[in-house]
Amino acid sequence: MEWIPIANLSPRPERRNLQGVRVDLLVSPYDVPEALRGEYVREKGCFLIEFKYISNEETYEKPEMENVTVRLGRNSGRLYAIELDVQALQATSVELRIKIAKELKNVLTHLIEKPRSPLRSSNYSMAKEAVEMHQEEILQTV
Amino acid sequence: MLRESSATLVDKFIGSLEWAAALAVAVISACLKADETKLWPFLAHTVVTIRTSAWYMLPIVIIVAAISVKLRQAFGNRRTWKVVQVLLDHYWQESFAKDDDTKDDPRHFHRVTMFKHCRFHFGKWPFSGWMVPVARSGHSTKSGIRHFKASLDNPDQAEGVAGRAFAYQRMVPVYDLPNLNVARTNDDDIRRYAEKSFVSIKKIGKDRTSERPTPRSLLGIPVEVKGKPWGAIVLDSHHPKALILLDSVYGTVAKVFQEILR
Repeated sequence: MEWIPIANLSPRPERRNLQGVRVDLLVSPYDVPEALRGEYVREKGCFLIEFKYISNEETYEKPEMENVTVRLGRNSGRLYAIELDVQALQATSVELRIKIAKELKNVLTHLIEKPRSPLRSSNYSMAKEAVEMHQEEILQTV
Repeated sequence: MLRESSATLVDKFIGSLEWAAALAVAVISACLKADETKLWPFLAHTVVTIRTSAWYMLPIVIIVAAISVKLRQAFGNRRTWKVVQVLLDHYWQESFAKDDDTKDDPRHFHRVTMFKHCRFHFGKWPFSGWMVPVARSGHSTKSGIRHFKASLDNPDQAEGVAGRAFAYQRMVPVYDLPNLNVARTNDDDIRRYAEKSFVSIKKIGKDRTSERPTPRSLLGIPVEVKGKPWGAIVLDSHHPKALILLDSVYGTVAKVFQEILR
């Protein structure tokens, strides 16, 4: 699958009071995905969504929720991929896209609420926004 | 001294050291095999002296060669730092040379400086983390660049936007700073400047004493290599308006940094 370039993500400034000085901290450019792609791997019965950043690193896989595995950066904890076990969703072909979209949203919300590291919560938020923005294109292969 | 200059000096010195070590090994090896009875007397004496001291000279030469390799790794290849210089100049060009508000200003009014986070830095106390300047755009204002404290144990006490961007792994924009580049400033302006730029009043005072111009806007950008925090890049400008990141330009620059920095 081709990478889908992501443009116009709008990271919200994080307003902090640092020793009496109000500062708007902005998301690191390394946390903002520059492209994403989604693929339905029929042989494995899973849907895989991947994110691309301006930097890369070694990754590792971790089961995050039931039927969901995420691939995170070994050094940064950044989100590089989500793999959904589609067969476990038990959806008809008509419902499949809707269920996958819902499951993706649940996983990303879960990651935002319980991040591996507090430094990465903005990365997961950016990933969620990117998925919502390009949902139709990602789910084309389903 | 910035890394390009120090890497060039180290490269030249280590290059000479490596030649000397190779020559020494060749000479010692030759002396071990030479038959001094067939040589001129003064040469025979030298050969015997070298042969008797070979048991400690050879290991010393090999250790010196190994240390020089490590030194070169620590300082970095001078070509690497030349590439970093080109990238910073390119980023400067895109950020300031094309902006109507800044394109006609002297070059040193707007700068791009790269800092590396080092746990220890020679001659600096405490040994708990410093942002050390390693490269700067342009050809001037390259000496006496301030180092900033950035302890990993106390991120909220990190100095400067360089220290804060590294500590928080976020971009730190600061703008509309008071203009301290005038003959008379009041204490309120100095205090506000120090607070907003995360630097002590004492350091601001030192800058003014040494007539070092103070920027009016800053943008700290964290730098990573292979997912690990490495340092930060700071844009500074005499213009008070907020500086912004040029995503596409920085994306290209960051990808090259990832391949050449360690």
